[in-house]
Amino acid sequence: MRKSANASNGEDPPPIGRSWRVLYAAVLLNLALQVLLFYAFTKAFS
Amino acid sequence: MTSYDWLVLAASLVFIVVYGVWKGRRNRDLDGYILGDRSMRWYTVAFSIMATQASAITFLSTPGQAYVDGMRFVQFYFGLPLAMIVLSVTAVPLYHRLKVYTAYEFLERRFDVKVRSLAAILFLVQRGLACGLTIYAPAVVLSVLLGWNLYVTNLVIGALVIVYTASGGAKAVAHTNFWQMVIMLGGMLATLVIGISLLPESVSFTEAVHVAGRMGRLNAIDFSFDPNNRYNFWSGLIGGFFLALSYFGTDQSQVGRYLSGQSVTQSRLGLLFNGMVKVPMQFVILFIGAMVFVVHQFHETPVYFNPVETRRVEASPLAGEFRALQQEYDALSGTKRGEIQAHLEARRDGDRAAEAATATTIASIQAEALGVRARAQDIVRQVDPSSDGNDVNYIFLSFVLAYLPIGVVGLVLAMVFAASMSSTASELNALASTTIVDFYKRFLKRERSDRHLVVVSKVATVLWGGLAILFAEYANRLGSLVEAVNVLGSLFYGTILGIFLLAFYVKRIGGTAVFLGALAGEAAVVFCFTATDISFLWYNVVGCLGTIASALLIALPGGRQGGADSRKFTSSPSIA
Repeated sequence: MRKSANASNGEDPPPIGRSWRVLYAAVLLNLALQVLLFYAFTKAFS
Repeated sequence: MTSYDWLVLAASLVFIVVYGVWKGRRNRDLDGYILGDRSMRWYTVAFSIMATQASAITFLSTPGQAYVDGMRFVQFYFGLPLAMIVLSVTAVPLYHRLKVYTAYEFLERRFDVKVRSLAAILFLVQRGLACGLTIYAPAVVLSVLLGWNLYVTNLVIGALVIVYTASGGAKAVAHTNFWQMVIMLGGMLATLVIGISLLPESVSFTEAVHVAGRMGRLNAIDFSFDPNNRYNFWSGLIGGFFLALSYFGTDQSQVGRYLSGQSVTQSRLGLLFNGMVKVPMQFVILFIGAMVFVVHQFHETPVYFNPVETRRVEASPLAGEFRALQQEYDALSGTKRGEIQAHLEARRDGDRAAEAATATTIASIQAEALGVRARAQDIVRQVDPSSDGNDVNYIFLSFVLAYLPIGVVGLVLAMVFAASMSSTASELNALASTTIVDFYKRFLKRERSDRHLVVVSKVATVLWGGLAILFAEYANRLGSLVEAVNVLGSLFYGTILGIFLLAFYVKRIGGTAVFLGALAGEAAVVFCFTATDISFLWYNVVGCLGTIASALLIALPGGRQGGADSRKFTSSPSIA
């Protein structure tokens, strides 16, 4: 169903991850992790 | 600088120029010259995007920023990954579907020619000026620290870029960007590793990080909300999001990079990769600055880092006062060094009381040393009223020249040149594309052969390059260059972004309302810049929201619509 929706928009699915939505979520998660790590870093060494 | 350093630097420059000319040798039509035949794979797109954004200013000014102000500048980039997602969902499929050459071309299809022209003019003004700064920034630092002639250095950097950008167009830009990014990453990692090895044997890496933290250099996150505080989590996330959305979504120097992707998928992957690695990359650059700060705690350092201005002061009647300040600074540094060693010993022994006591002493000496530095900067300004007394841009390269081994100095200089050339090349390519596609082809010569358009694009590249060099020769007194460029961008980006957001998301609005709304939005930004103390990151929000709100208000009374086919050009995101 998803694939056909993508195909109808002339878009390919991403080469990694099940869908673009998953890839976008991975980028968001990555940012959240970085913020958490930087916060821990700031607290640990301040 | 030794002959080995010269060899490394010259080899890098020759490689880049020859490789660029060779990769771009077959440009038969405008599609090839402006968008590289839309043939790039995602990793070339990603590295090209990153190399375009990472100018020499990034590598010269950012570590200095961490040295004097800590790592809080990293928060500036928190909005970037969000912007990469929004653009992947909206702009990338839309631009690919419409097969546009420039982002502004899309605006005429969506609205009308005056909106397209306004956005293109705003871009040409701000990017044309910024391009001069991109050349000037490394040239001024290199000329001061290495004694090179500033005008010749500007000319050499500009000319090298013009050669391969004018001859090879977007293909040359994308392929050289890839290798320039590799050189940048290599130089950065070499500096970090060697910088850490310069710590005294008695001080471990963990202890060095501890010292940096104790002295306020690892302040990466600040969650407090204060619009007048330039860098905190919220200004970075919200203001940085608007700035990144505008820069990557509407600035042709970036749009041209991902439009060269061979498909929507390749362009999206390039943007998303940038969203994943940009923040850590900036973190590492700032961390290098923090480590340079720690290394300096164990070595003699000048009270002021710009040697040309220091020599000017030493030749003035205030020389005695300045020398006394340097002696006072040296004495404080010596005492501080002893206290830091005592602090680390107390930490190793688990003596909490001694650790806290020495930390307090270090903080008080540091405050005193900062006061001495401020007085030295005052003297610099007294001797030369045209100087702003800001030496942030000289800190990193002074460290490189003083402490890094033979060969690595050449590599770091190659990194600075690569960064400057990569940004400048993308900017020149974008300026030429916009000039030719949005003005020359649109208004003057609609029906000309592709061959003719490629030739005039090359001429436009050379002319914009010449203008950038000319502006670089006059750029001066701008304080921290990384901030100057971002302030300049923020004056225009919000308005341009407002226009594009209306184009993407508001179906029932016409060109006149958007045009007038954009003028009102820009007026609001100019007011904030001249009459308030609001941090520049918020200009992007003001310009964007001002444009959108004004355009919607103007459109309301007549219920103006975007035309029968406006839906074709607005975004219908499919993010499955």
